[in-house]
Amino acid sequence: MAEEKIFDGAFFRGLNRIKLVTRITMQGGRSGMRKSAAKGSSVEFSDFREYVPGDDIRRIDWNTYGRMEKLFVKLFVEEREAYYSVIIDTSGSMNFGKPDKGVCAARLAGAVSYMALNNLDRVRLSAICSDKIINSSDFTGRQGFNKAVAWLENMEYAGRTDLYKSIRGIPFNQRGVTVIISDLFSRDTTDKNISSITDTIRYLRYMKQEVLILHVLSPEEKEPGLEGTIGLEDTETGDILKVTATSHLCRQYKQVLERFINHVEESAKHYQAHYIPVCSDETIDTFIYKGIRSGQLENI
Amino acid sequence: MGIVRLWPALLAVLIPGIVILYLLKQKVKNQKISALNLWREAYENIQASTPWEKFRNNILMYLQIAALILLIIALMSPYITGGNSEYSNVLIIIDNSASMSGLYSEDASKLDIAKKQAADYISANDGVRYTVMSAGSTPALIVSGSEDKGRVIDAIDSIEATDASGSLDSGISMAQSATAAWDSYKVLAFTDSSANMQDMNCEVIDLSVHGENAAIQNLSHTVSEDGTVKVMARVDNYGKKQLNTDVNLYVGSKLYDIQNVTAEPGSSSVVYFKNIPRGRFNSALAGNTPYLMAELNSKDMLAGDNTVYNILNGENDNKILLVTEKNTFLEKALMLSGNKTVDKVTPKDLEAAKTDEYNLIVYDGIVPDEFPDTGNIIFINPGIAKESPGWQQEVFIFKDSTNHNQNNKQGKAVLVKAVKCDVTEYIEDYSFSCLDVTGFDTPAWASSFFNTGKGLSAGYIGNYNGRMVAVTGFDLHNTDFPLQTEFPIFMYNLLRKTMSVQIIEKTVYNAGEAVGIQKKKQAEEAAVTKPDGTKEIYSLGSGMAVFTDTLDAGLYYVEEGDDRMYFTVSFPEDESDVSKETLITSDKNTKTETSKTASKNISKKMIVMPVLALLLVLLMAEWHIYRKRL
Repeated sequence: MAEEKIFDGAFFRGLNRIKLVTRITMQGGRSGMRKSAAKGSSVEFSDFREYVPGDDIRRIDWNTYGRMEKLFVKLFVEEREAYYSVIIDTSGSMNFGKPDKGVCAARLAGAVSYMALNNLDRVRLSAICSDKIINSSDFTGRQGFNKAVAWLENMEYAGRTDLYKSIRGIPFNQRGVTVIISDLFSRDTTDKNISSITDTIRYLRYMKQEVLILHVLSPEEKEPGLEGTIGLEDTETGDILKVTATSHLCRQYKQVLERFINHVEESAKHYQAHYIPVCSDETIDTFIYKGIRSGQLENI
Repeated sequence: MGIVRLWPALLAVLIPGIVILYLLKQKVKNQKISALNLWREAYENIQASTPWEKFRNNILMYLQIAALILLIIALMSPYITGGNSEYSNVLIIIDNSASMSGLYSEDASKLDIAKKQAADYISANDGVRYTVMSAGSTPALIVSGSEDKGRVIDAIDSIEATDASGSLDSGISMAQSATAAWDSYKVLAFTDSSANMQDMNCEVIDLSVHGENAAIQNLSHTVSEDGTVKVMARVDNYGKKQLNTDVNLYVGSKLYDIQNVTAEPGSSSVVYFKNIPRGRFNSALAGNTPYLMAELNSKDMLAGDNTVYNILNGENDNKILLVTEKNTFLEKALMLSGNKTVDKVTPKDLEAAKTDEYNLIVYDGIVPDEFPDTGNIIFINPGIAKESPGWQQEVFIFKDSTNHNQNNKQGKAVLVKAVKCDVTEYIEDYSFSCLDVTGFDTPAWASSFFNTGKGLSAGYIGNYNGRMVAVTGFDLHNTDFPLQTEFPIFMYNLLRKTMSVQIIEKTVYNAGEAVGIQKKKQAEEAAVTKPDGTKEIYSLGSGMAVFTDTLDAGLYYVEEGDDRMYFTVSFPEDESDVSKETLITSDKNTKTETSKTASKNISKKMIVMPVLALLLVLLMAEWHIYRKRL
């Protein structure tokens, strides 16, 4: 991983301007600042229903009784904490690019964690690579953010990726939000890879997760400036492909990449997941702006 | 397009070397990428369509290969022969005189080389109007202003060598008048002789070659008093080595004798064949081969001048019949005029005489009733018949003049003046007085050689129905003319003209010289057989025909009815001299180029400099790209 500082002053300044919103309502879990489908004892009114014996008589709405001569009790939405699973791809391919995709991924994970923890939500970080899954403990509260940052700073990028297989290894015990931060590259062919990504989304949706995919690519991957005869070395596998990089080949590569991105985005839409492409040279501000435009983030 | 040398093409083997060097140079530098599968997919997509993709980006390699190719081309000294000529008109003059048939190389004559080089020039130049002339004894326009190259080349191929004397000079005036009308032109002249190209813009290809050449000339024969025949010929050596060869003498087609002859370079030798029995000729004549042929027994540059002919004079052509009462002057004059037999009869005995045997009948003071069937006729002072037969009215057109005074012996003397013609050769200015002169109107078939003071003819000669007829209107007794020295000259000329020959005037012609064919007897046409055996027929309707195709030296014969007469066309002496230096001159301020080897000078533009300039541009471009990549 690059030696640059992952979480600097500019990063933290950007964090204070945002909050994360999710469309889901939380069920189960501990109390938090999110509205829950469960009716509870919060101050936010939800509905009325007729009194049945056993109800707390303190919740009877006497004004309604005066008008309707029937006993009604007020129902309130119980605010519960959301559960965020932030899955970071730490394969070798993420340790690439200028700026480094790994740094970018860590910052994105930090930003997401900050916003979630700032809303008193619960956050769990997972680093996946080479069939290996490293889950953090759940972070809560502002204190939890410091721990999350420390955890993110200690991540190492190496090995291969098998997104679907890795995510199957992560326990999802309740509804929540799963954020996948990855370049989505794998050893498989594009078609097989897209199929794997689609399976992952479908699995997460099945596990009642709101899915947000942050697709991180470096500028070199988007606009390859290769020239002459070179050996392209795969950072994950070490395989070498000798090519003479011509403008024709570069154009062809970009077409293949564009097709890949389009397919991933289509799969995400199809399974009601959210997809945000991120370039590693973008600042957190740009990412936030993109998030707001896609409805995922809004100003505080 | 052509090249001067081929060996630099071997350097092309370096081209694969450059390619190999580039392949070796391509040390593959590994570059890490996040994932290979997208690249692999992209690479597989393009690999099928472009197997040479590897080299697509190596512009430096292509530039270096191009530079090497240009260097090789420059070393090969390329030139262009094609393209549009700088001249819109090109006049090609080819000398086809006798000397051009000489050998230029072992298997090609000078004319062959000229034709080939002219054809090469035409093939190499587009957009030009070509005019082609041949120049020898007489210039001939072969093609005028044609852009059809095939037609022009075919026309050039059709130019044939002649044995006529000549040079380019004969065609210069025609060429000048042609070029005067052109704004942009070039004259391309091929010759082996000296010429003055005057003020024309021309390139002269000098095809003269110095080498060994001998010629045999002036074959002649004389009959000695003892009846034997002596034959003589001159052999000229124009080479640089001593000539030692044999001369073969043929009588007709049969070889008679061989004599050895030697001649120093630049000198001549005479070879004699003596004591040939006269009977030999007779037998030869009996075999209908009345000619001699001598030939050199060695080969040299010019074959045409190695053979020479001589025609033998037939003896039965020389008999003269004089019909006169008494005319010693005339008889003596006839006797003196050559080796001829003169028989004399009086008018009374004329009917008994066999006039058919004589070649010439001279009627002195009388006119026969019937026009003789054969022979030529001289009428001297013809009498008058009151009722003249039809033929007399055509032959004698008397004028009723004061001079016509046959019975008046005291008549006034009349001045008779010579008219310039063949009969009065050497006595053109002569005049004499005559007492009794008959004045004639010159008939349409004749021309006058003596005129009276009043413009009438006192003597005329012409071809009357195929017969030479001469008439004089005065009696030789009435003038002192026979006493003058001019008389034998006049008689010799008159006899030569009337005896000359019935069909043609002489037996030896120069190549290119016209041969006049006289009508003899009642022949309607004459046939001329050329040395190659071809025959040309001429109509004798007008009493005469002219044969001009005497461009080949050799033996010819003319046939009119039963009569056959041989004549020979001789190879011109001046064309045999191959040792002459060729001098091409022109007027001042005129561009005239002379070259010996035309093939290397015709319309070639070297293009080495443009190729080198292109090479420099390529190298600069390569340097620029190289710097840019650094």
